[in-house]
Amino acid sequence: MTARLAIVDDDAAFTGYLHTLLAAQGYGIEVFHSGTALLEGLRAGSAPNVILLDVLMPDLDGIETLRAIRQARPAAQVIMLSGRQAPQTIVEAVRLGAADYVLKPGDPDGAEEA
Amino acid sequence: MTDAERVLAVLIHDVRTPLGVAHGYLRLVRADKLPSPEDRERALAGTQDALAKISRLCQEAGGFLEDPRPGTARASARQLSERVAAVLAERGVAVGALEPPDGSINVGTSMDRAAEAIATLLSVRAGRTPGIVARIEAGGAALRFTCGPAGDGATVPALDGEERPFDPWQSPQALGVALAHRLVTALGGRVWTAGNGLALALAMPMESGNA
Repeated sequence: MTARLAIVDDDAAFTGYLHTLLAAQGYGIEVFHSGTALLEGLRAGSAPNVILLDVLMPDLDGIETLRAIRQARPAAQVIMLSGRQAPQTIVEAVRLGAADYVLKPGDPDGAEEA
Repeated sequence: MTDAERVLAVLIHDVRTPLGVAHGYLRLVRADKLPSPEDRERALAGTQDALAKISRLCQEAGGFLEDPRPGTARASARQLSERVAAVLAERGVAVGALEPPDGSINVGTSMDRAAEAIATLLSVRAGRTPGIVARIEAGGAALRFTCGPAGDGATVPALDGEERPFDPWQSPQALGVALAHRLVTALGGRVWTAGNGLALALAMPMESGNA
């Protein structure tokens, strides 16, 4: 069965790239441009196996979104994406059950490894 | 940290993502991992967009090195409001009220530039979030712009909450937002948030009589 991934990021250029990269590897992809949109998607029946979640977003940020995901869909694997290394945010994300924390690509290998 | 140091720090951070996107797309194309012509076209368009973004970021960073004195040209509150509303519409932000009072506003050297800066600040709050609405109306002796969750369609209820100064450097597109913030405040404008950041407001001082 093809794994389903959700990409949550307000940066359309980055989501476009991740979509192309991961779709080329055979994953089913859904893109959401805000934490609120993801949570609405989950309520509407979207059931991704893995959620790639940006940390810095307007409206609901990645950590707040992660908290809400933990309540709405406790089994979902969440990988945090960030443009910068922020130790406190990493600790908080791991404490909330994030499976991994990946820096956004200066090096595109990071996204592929995730 | 000085403004110049902040600009450099933000530039380094913000350039990383589009640079990585361009690099990633080109690598996919060169490794022949995108079999369909549509995917290859999307990759080239994405590379072009990413490079355009890097170019814009460098221009914005350069803007900080220019003389910040904004000039003294004036425009009518109505003209400025309509221009801001048009820019917001281009960016997909709904304008719930466009009710500018009579009066004139200092727009520096260019009304379009001032309108762009105001719309940039309001767009920070709107992002891509549905249900956010902008309003343009009188606010005492100022022309007031607000952006936040729509209440009954006639108000932005979160504005009733505690006011806090707006920090442009905490925004996702910090460089462009900080540049817009600097222009607006140099023109005498004030920017603040309320309702735990749910709403953003901006007031431009106004003189009676049209420009």
